[in-house]
Amino acid sequence: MIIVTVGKPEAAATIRSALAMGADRAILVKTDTQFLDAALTAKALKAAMEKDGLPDMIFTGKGSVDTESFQTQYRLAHALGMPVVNEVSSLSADGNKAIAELEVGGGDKQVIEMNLPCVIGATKGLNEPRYPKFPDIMKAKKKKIEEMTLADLGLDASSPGVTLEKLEPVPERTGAKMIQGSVEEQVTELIRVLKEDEKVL
Amino acid sequence: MKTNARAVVIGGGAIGVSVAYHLAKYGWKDDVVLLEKHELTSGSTWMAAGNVSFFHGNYYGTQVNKKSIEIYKGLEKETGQPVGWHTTGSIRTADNPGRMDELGYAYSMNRCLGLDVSYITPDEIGKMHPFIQTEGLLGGLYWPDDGDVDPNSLTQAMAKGGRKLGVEFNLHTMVTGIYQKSSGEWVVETDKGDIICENVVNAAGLWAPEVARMVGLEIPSISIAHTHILYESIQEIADRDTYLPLMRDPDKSIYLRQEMDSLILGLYEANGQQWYKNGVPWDYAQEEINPDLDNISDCIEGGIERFPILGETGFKHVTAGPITYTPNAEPLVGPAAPLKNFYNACGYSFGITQAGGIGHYLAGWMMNGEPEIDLWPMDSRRYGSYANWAYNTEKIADTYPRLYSTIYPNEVRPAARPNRTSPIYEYQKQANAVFGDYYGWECPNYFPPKGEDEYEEPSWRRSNAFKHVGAECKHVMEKVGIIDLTRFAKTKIAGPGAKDWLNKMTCQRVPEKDGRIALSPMLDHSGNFKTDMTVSRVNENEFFCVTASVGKKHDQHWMIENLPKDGSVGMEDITYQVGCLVLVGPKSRDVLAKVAYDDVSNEAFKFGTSREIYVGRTKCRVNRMNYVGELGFEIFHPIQHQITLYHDLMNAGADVDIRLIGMHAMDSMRLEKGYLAWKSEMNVHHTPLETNVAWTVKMDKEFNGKKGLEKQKEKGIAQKLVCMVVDATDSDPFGYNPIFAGEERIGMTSSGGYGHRVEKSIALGYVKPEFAKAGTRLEVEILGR
Ligand SMILES: Cc1cc2nc3c(=O)[nH]c(=O)nc-3n(C[C@H](O)[C@H](O)[C@H](O)COP(=O)(O)OP(=O)(O)OC[C@H]3O[C@@H](n4cnc5c(N)ncnc54)[C@H](O)[C@@H]3O)c2cc1C
Repeated sequence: MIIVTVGKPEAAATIRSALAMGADRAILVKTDTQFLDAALTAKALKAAMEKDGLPDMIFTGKGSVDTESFQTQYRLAHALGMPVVNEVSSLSADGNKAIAELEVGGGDKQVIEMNLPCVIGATKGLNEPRYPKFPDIMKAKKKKIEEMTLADLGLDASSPGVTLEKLEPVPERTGAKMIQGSVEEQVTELIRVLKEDEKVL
Repeated sequence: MKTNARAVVIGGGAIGVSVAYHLAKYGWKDDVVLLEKHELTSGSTWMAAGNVSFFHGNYYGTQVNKKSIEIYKGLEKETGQPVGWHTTGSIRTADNPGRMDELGYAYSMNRCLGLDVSYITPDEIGKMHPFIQTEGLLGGLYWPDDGDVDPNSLTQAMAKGGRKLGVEFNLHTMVTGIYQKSSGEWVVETDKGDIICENVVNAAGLWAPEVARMVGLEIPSISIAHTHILYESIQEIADRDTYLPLMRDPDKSIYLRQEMDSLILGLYEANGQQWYKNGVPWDYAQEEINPDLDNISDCIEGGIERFPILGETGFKHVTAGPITYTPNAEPLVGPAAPLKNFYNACGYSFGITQAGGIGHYLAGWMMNGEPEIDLWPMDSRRYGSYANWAYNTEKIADTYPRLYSTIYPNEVRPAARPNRTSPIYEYQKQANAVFGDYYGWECPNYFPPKGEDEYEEPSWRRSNAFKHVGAECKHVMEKVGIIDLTRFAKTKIAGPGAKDWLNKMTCQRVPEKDGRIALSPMLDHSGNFKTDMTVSRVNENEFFCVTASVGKKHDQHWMIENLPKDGSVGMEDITYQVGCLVLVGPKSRDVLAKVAYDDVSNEAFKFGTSREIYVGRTKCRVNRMNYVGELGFEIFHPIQHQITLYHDLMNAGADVDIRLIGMHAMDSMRLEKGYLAWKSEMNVHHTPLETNVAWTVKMDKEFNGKKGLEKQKEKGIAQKLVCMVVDATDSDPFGYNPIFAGEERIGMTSSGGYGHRVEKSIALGYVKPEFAKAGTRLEVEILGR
């Protein structure tokens, strides 16, 4: 398994965790900013993978947790001409095919069959992440992270299609309520608040 | 928020909340205010593992732990708030003989306190902890009553108890300044207004040095990032229905305890990372520190060797949190010298373990003026001005990785030294001194021949210094030597009220004639020893007082606190202006006579008198007395003359083989003579009436503590100091060894060692009076045997 990341040099720490969890090696495409536009990210991923040799399956998250643009996997699949399914919560392979399950709301489940190679956007439930063991963490240190820049891949970050102007917390609507007391008291009070004051339970 | 209070406690961590709760509980009720800049527990407390054990390196610390456990077990009943206490028991292992000796010392000391502790074999350890690999272990100690507590619930419980009693808790209230009014009242300034109060407690944890700086004090406390690892759930633990004991493998510098259905590994790595060592930012609260796995990997590997399952279990969460450390990792508690009514309760690195106990004891101390037990090992006055920030940052770099190292009673670490030196330091070095560290002073312990035993091997038994110390004692007994006691604390007390005031401060009668000396114990209000000083009368209105170096801050603070307000008594600290060389041995008078311009014959210069004489060109104050029990003279001199004086004495003594003598020899000889040592024999648990200085008590005058002594006289004493000769082969008693008559424990040693002049192992100790008869056979337990 190969980890491919486009990000700032600090992303290496996150890559190390993934290596400790079992990945074999990694590629880091270094950028100066944390937020790249999804089009460029997808281009960089494609270029890095093509350089390394295309895999049978590409896993991405269902969307980034910071910018939540939910586009990279689609753009990448499109560029590579591969099928793509997002929010996959269960997956199996059958010869040349991948069978993916995803929840579509209202308690319904979709089962999708795709040809390999394909792109899978993962969501919670697809896998129980393994906690890294100390010997694995030590081994991960010796695993290779190949580093390259956007320029090495013939890309240019100077005129992105989309730029992130600002990222700031939404102003709090109402002041958070601090519940005091012991753990038990706090829990009891929380349940009461949810039931009686907020009526959400 | 109140604007007036009896006590203001700064800091809402486990420590501050406990102090506030106990102050209220013991009577100050709603006159107690606690100020917390954020939420309760938001400093160190919220992250703590919550291990609570009886084990502590010293006797009184153990007693604080014991008190905590007692309090924690009762809190739920009192406040209705559970504290998450689990009795798990704990085991401390040993994989080498030095460690076994240390456990032996702990075992004996714990038995003095009546604690439930027992030796266990590697096999038994294996049975109690299924995950341990016992290979290489020699044994361990087991405390069945140890456990753990939830630090947050604990703090909340004490807060709840405090609130019920009327304590005002002001959260999100930051102390920004503190000053004392001329009336003596304190003004605590906060971002929500000022509070005027009688007493202030600095329990500001990570920020205690900043709060101390508000009142002009520098306290040695720096934070270090302490890491522990929570493992993923382990089926075998989930399947158990009893708690695993807390394990400490000090030789691997780790602890391991059960947390729900998993384990927490904590470690003290070789290279502790000091965190914001120049000062923790005010806005830090409740944040984890990024752990540095590389820095702790050796300890983790040690953990896996001892507990192989840790190598097969995933890390669920690795976390580091800041903990404060002082130079020796003991906290800083009690009156903050030289201030009045300002107290420290900070510098804690095991504050969850001690919060309950120290809240109880400090509250009592503040309310009664004296602590219920002798808290000297954690008294913030044990550090002088040498223990500044730079000293601390160097010293804890050595202390932190050694928190679990075997602490030997004779070990002197080289870290952060030298600090204070006598002017003759270079000459002591030339004479091959092996130095000890006393209140920041370099003071020779012994002088081996060149190339021999120049490092004293740390040991619980007789060390390689033994024969050299023996030679020095013999030398003092037969010839003459010089002991450097420049480090003595020296205080000048002068003024029209000096004599009367001193007479009130000591149970002894202050000398009535110029040039007389009196051994003068100072007592607390119940008659127990506060300190002991040698008072020489210079003239009717001036006295020269000498006390132990390590007690300087403590003793002088006691005097400052008691000085009359009318200015009739002046007090001057002359410690750093005046040196002291002690000339001792049968030839000492001859040597002195050779260099002195004055008559020093026995007739002209009697025992127990003090004179100002010229020793060579140096004008000195010489006391004819000393601490080793041979003919001798304590020669106090202007410190800038010391080298000259030293040469004069050495030249005068050359033909009688004069030499330098170290502290070890002095201590050996004082033991033989049964001379008392401060904080060993003379502490807050004993009065002079129990000792061989009962003669210093003059009941026909008024003095501090007289009522206490009257009561004691009436009731009769419960303990008596005895000097015991011990049959010992290679290890001598220290102090805190239990004394038995048959099966019955009848007392405890206060100090011990080897008397080289009498060639016997000796212990001083307090026993029940009926056993204090010459010729009684008793047993002293040394190192658990
Ligand atoms: C990872 C970890 C594990 C630990 N494990 C254990 C363990 O197993 N057993 C154990 O006994 N100990 C353990 N400890 C240590 C223990 O947490 C501390 O010794 C203890 O919490 C110290 O409590 P405290 O009240 O002195 O300090 P803190 O908890 O730091 O409290 C000080 C409080 O003072 C407040 N304050 C500071 N300045 C001001 C100001 N100017 N105005 C108003 N308020 C102010 C702060 O906001 C803070 O809340 C552990 C610590 C860590 C980090």
